[in-house]
Amino acid sequence: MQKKIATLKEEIQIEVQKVFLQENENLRQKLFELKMQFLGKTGKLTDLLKSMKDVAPELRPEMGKYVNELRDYAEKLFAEKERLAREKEMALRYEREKIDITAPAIFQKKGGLHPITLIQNELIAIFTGFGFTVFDSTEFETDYYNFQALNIPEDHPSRDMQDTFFIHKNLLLRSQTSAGQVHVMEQQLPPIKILTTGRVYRSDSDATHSPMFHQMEGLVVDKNITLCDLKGLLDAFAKRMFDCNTKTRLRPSYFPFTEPSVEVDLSCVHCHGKGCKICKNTGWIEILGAGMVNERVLQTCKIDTAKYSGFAFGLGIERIAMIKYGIPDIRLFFENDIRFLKQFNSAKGEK
Amino acid sequence: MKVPFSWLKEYVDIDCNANELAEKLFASGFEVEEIVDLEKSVENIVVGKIVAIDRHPNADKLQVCQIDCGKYGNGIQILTAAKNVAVGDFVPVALHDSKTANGMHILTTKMRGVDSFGMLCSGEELGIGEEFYTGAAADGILILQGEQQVGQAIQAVVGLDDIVLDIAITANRPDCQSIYGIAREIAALLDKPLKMLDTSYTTVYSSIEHLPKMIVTMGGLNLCRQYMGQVLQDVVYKESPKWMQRRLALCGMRAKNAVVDITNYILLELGQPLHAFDVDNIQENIVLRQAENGEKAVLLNEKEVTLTEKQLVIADNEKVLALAGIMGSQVSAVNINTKNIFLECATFDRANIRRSAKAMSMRTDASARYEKGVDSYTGLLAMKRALHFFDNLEVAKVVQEFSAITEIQKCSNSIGSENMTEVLKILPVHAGGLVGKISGYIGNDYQAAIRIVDKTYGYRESIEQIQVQTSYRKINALLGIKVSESKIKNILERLSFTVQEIEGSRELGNIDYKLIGKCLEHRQILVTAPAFREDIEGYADLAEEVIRLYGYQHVKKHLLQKAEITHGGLNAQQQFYNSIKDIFVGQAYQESITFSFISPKDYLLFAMEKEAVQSVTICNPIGEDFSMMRTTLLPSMLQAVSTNMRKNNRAVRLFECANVYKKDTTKILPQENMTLAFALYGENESFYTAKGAFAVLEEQFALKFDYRVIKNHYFHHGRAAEVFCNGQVIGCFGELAPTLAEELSIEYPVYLGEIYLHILEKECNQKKYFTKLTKFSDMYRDISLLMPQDITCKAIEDVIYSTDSSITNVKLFDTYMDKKLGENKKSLAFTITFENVDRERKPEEIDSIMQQVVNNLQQKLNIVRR
Repeated sequence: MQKKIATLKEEIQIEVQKVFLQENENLRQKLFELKMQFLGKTGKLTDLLKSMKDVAPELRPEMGKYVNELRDYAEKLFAEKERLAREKEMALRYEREKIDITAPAIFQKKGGLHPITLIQNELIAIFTGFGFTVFDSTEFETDYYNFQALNIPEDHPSRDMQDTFFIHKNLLLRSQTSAGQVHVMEQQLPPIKILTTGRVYRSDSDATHSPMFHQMEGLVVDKNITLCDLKGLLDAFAKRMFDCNTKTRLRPSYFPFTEPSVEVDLSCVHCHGKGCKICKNTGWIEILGAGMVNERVLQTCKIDTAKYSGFAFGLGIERIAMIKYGIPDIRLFFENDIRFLKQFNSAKGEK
Repeated sequence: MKVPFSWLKEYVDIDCNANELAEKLFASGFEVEEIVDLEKSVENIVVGKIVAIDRHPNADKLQVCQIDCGKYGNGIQILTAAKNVAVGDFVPVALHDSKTANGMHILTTKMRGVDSFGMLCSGEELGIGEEFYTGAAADGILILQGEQQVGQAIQAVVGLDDIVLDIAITANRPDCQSIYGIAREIAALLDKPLKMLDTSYTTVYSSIEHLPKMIVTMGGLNLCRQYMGQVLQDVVYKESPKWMQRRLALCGMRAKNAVVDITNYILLELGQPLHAFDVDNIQENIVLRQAENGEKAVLLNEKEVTLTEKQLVIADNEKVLALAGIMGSQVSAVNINTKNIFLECATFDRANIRRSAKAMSMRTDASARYEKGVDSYTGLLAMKRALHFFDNLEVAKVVQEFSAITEIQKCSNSIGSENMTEVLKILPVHAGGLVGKISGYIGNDYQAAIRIVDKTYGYRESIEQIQVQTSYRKINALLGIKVSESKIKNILERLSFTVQEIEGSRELGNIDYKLIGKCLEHRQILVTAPAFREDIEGYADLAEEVIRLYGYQHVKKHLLQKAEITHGGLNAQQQFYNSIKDIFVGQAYQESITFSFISPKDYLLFAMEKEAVQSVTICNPIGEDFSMMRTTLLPSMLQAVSTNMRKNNRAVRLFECANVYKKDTTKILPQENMTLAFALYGENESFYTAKGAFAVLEEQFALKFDYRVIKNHYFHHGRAAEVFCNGQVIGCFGELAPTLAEELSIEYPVYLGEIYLHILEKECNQKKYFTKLTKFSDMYRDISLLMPQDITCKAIEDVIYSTDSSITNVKLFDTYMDKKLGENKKSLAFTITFENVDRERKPEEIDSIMQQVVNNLQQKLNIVRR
């Protein structure tokens, strides 16, 4: 009996070995069949177990132990070999099914917004955070809203600052988003905090001027508004639009609808104030015009100047985009070459 | 404006260098755009004395000079081809390694075997003309005059020791459009006194036989605030002094003759245009009047102009002598034979000069000044200063009898220009008494004020000056900082304002008293602006004066410290437009921005006659292609497509969100309607990918669009649709008509369309709300159908949907066409989705609905199952 057990064990080992040596395909199947040959209902090991009844009763416990040990051994061996077989099989399958993972992905491509819209959205996000709303004003305007109400009477020399497109004597294409200011002040009571953004038109065309371009105008009218508020707000804007180390400075300027009027300069975003080609070695870049709303304008809009004061600012969106993205020519914005437009869909590291 | 540093120093003791001054000017509102240091225009060029001249051994045309250059060496050998040099001459010597004004770099060289250690210079090589140095324009070497110190730098000798600042003057400061004006500003900045101008002169009694009379008409009154005239006699036709010529040249003006040079000098020095007429060419009277319609004149530039009554002219009894404030006429021009002149100094109405200059398309130095604004205070000063030069430089003698000034205030002209009445005559600039008198008023429609002036600056008091009543606190309240009262007063006074404190005044109003302290008493001040500051209107202007001199760096940064908190953000419409843009970006469309203009040619190309009629036309466009405001975005879209094709970009999806404009006869303003246009081309694009632009909107906003066949000039007649939403047209799209594609040399099929967002917007629900999920899953059935080719997908869908309410989706998944199917037949296959809202349906139930679907299709469309 003991001998039988030993022989069977040896047989199992040899058979398993054989299967592994011979079979590549269907290894697991062969292994299973082999397993059945020994451990199945009519398997050799099962038979051996069945033959226990022929063993002398006093030897049964010992023999039983040996047979059970063999069964345990066989089961473990098959389990182990099955695992190996599965591994081997999978390795073959993976090899068979492998693909070129460097080939291009398939995905729903996204387009992108125009750089002007991107800057416009960024500006709106910054200022709505300060409590501003956006006021959509018309692109056609009467002379009154574009000029007269802004303290620019007919034949005023500052009309030279902007060559306007006229439809007829009284109707024109707005030359500045400031035209929206007057509408707002006519329609709303203070506190007023609004932005007007959009297309403006001037009869001018070269590398830095376009007959159509975009502006954003901001207006604040409330009690106790001072020049310090203007400086604080525009400084905060510059830091968020460019980077937190950006510095701003005010210097006197002239616009008919503000008094005092200022020009706001930005520490050069390229050289950080050291001086470079872009800032013409001054370390500063002019980015917007602003000022305290001229009393005359407030009075024209029937706002009580004894109670309220305000400030306004206006900037060219193309200019901000050109500074922020390093775009050299304003005409690129309106050419709509997809290679240009796509550049602003994704981030680009510092050169 | 060009400002020579040396000229400024004549009026103010400037104790800083040009760069420091430029910075101070910049900080106070005057941007110095350029600083040109003339000293640096040449390098290493010194005065030398020719001690010997020999002939060149090998060249006839060259001379070998030995030069004494003082500390740079005696006996420096330099060769020259010039003939005009002689032993003993002082000449400019460009030493070894020197630079000339025209950019030459001079080095030691050998000429035909003889060494030359530099070069002798001409005036041109120094960058100077006659106005800098006599003889500078002559051919050959510049021979310096008199005894010179050898070895000294050439710059100081020829007047190149100067710096010219180019200063930008803002439109509100016409008073700074002159050297004296800017000097006045600098004096205030540096807190230094401003030197007075010498205006002294003597007068003589006239020897002119017929002195003209000066007449100002009603028309003239309205267009001229002040008119002064002075007759001068015994004119000497000569050159003006070198110093004057040099200053004119530094400011970019050419010297002509002493009379013209003096008027130009005054223009630069005080910003007041003057004009000299030849008295002997004036017939009897000098009349300031409106031109007659169609009246003609030949001006100094030899051009004949035709005038209208809108233009102001100076005329005599017969002819036009000058187009006021712009240019004189040829007949009255001062020339070499001129004996006597009438000198005009006027303050013309700036608006009228602007209009006239524009109408005549003529801009002159004089008209430019008038347009910016010339104040009446400066007028008299300028006249006197000019007379000073005429007398002092012995150019002409000031006549005692004819000297006139009129000052006109608040005139209203309801009578019209035909009433050519002699209304004003005149009082002298210099005599101190009334010479002329007002000959008559016409009704009460105008008031004319005549002022008696004396020889001194006393005139200032008679000019109406602007006064502002305010308080120190009000000024500080606008600035948001506290500038001390004494500092405010000091700054204003430095700028020639006078500040009077009003005793016992108390200011009330809405002011945050805590900000300033408990003090409720706030003294009112009365600030009087100097006569030349016509830009001052109120306390805000004073605040600006204070802060620009006090320094903007003192302004603190507050974030709306005392303002009310407001809720900001976008309104529903703005959010809607943003979401539309996002949807298109999500569909791989790239946003584009094109001009709002459209060319009439585009309307022709697209055969949009009706649209063209509705289009708003610009009356001063930059070109025909930009002359109308677009009523459709399609032509611009197509242009963007064509640009991309030219650049060989192979797959493009573009969209633009912009207004289109239409005339509105009922309103002043045209309509502005938000519209979206899109275009696409490329390998994978088709009519159906273009249709995706609409489908995605249907999905996003839970809408159902109706697509109907449209036939027009710019779309392919079999591949274009008009899109309806609840019975309204909300857009159209299609394949570009092959005829148009051919005309525009577009090769690929291009699809484009337009969505009328302003209409669609009203149909779009942006609300989102939860619906309970059903426990039961959807069931699906596929069906393949055989039908005639012209049955539309839509017709089949409609029948299937109407069969049973549990059908929630019908989706075409296959189209098959083959002759085997039969003549003009096609096969379509659909997947039908059944939703089990309330209960699980058995497969048999679905099968029975499917049978009904087949029956319905059979009955209604004669379609059979395949």
